[in-house]
Amino acid sequence: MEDFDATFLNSSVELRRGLTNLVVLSECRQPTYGYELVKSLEKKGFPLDANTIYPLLRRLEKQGLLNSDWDTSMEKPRKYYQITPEGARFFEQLKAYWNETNRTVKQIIEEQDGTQIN
Amino acid sequence: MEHKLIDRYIYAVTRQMPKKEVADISRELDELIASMLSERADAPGSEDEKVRQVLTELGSPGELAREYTGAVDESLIGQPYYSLYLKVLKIVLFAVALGLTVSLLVSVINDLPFADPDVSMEWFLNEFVEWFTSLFSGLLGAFAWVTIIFAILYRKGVKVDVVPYDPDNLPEVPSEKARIGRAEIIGDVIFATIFTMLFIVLPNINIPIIGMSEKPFPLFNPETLVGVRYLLIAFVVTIILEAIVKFIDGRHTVRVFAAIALTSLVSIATALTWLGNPLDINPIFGERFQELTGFSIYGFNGQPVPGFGGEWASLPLPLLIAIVVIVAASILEVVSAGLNTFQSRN
Repeated sequence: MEDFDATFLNSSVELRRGLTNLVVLSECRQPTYGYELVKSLEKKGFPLDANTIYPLLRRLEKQGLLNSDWDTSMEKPRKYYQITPEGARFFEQLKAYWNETNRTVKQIIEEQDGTQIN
Repeated sequence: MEHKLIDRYIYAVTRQMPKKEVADISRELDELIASMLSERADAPGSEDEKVRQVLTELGSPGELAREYTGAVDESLIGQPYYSLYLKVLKIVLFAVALGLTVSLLVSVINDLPFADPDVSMEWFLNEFVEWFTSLFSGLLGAFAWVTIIFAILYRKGVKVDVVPYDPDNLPEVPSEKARIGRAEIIGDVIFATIFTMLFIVLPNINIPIIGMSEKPFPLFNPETLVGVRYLLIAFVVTIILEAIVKFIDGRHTVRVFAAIALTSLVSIATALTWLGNPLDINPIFGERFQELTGFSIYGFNGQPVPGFGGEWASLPLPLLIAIVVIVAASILEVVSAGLNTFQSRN
């Protein structure tokens, strides 16, 4: 398959894209600013580009799931984001859905894996 | 972190965003870039190189702006084609609209029944409807073709020669003074349109004076209007040209300055030639005005205007004032545009 790598990259990016909201909302349960989030996700093995995270934070804020505050006490002002009560409710629901889906998908895959061995 | 390239980058990202979001996003990007730079503080390389690295890592301003405005993947035309598509579409639609308007204007001028003093409203309406329908179908067709071509290019993944992003090629941030607002350009185009309608397309009606006589009559003499027709057309064309250059550059550049200088020159010529003709105001108006008020519009209530010689002294006073104002305003505009252009370059 000629485009194997490209196709794989495409599929994995698609998979992760659906999970970014979940991961970012999860991290924002503690107040955090954009670049801190970039670094922490990178360290935790879910790297996202800064140019994805910054617009995403704004979008989540517009949707009322996050709120933000400029901290100007430091030399360089930083915009801290934190989850709203509405966002927390949304996060719990999304998390439950992810767990459920994850279980189901695993089941589907394992079932087939089993039949193939026989 | 003060760096020219950073300012240019942030300006390029936020340029097309709604005003109320620009300040906040600029500040946030500034913070992000500063964070990315401070992480590289101990790495080898000059400050300039690091800034270039960071700006390259962030991707082209267009892509980033698209992320902010909400990128949709299930799109008819995705990036990087979309940026180019928008650019091409703008130019094509503008050119089609301009071309159709000019060609219809020419045909209207040729068809105009100048000999007939009673140009009917119906005739004018017909011309207008014809212009509007061909403009509408022309724009629709152009839009469809550009869209179809780009949709195919996107689907097939054809390589389009999109200028590769390089931080060093970011255009300079124009100073507040050097920017040209959309309102100014729209104002110019509206003025040109109204001027064209009143004085070029409908010289027999121009500005109708109602209530001073049994029948309404035009304020300006239709014959002199027809006589200077080509000068008036040149005047409108220079205004439109100026608007196009302003639209493309969006700031005071040498090209914009040249366009403004040309327009000013033509408007001075128009003012002197057209308005400098004593027969320019409909003689009926002069007569009726004197009958009604006892004052003569020519000269200083019939006497030569002090300070002006020859024909100028006996021109209708409002015209003389208009000429002085137009000439002064044109010279002022060239001077102020010149200052805006050449000061902002340093």
